Amino acid sequence: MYTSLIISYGVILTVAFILKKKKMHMLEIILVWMSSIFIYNNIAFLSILNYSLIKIPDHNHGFLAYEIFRLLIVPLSIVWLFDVNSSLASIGRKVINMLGFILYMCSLDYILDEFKIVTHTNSWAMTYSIGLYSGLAFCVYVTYFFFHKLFKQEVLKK
Amino acid sequence: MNSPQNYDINEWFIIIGLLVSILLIILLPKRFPHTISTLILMFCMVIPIILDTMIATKPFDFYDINDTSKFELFDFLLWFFYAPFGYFFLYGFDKWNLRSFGLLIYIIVSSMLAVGFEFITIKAHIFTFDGWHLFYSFPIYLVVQSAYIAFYLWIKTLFHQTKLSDLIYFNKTDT
Repeated sequence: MYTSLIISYGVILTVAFILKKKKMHMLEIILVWMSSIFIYNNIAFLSILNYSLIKIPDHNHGFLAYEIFRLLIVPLSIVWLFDVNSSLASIGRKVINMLGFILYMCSLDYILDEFKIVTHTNSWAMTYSIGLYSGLAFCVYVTYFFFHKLFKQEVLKK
Repeated sequence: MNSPQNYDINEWFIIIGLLVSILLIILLPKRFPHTISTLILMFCMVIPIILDTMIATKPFDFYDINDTSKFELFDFLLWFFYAPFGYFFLYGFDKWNLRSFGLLIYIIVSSMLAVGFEFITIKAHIFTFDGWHLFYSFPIYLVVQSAYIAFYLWIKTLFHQTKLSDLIYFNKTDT
């Protein structure tokens, strides 16, 4: 049941994103999507395999829900964060949007734990989730910033 | 991230392979705009990451990568080793302007080469199969390489359609 809830949420999020009028260019969305998968997967690998901070389920439907979270919900949420940020003018609003994103991701982490899709061990603390998603957003933002500069230069040259 | 205690054949294989492929990318005549090259390299890195995380971890756990089941420095470097192969594949596709039957032959031959290369990586102890077989990889390569081509054609079209006014994100800081 919990798995179908996560899958449904992933599908609703995707459909809503497709229907939403986007400010970002599609190539930028692709880059943000891929870089967030790359960074998040490496952090997840470290947390699961090396430090045993997180346990993912052995059963197939739980694993599927985790994959939906890792490959769809996390990257899409980051893309959404940047897309909303692009329509905000003041830095204060952008910071509030960023804080909202971190709160939303930490809540999702908490829900996944409650659903037993991800089990955070006793060594895990809420500050780790905050650090994880702030770090993820920062790294993706830096990648995106340099990509945007490069993209703009090449479009100008065309 | 753990670094290996002994530098065996698998570590040297990754180091040398990575250096040679980066050198080749630099030395080859420029074919794609940097934007497209960046996206190609990212895509060719992310697809294997997605597949590896799906089938090389529990519940499936069909193979181990490198020396231990922990996430090592060389597991991380291996992600970057995947990317140039997709780049060279698309470079050839674009250079020879392959269409229809020629494209099909190209995908089949390159998938066979990829399986051959995977065989070498098994001998170099980069992959240790546990329930996986080399023959299973062939259809995966067929699908993945077809996806590379579809992705490349899509981003190429998007790139050529882009106007400066479409890029608004950092406009306030850029101007």
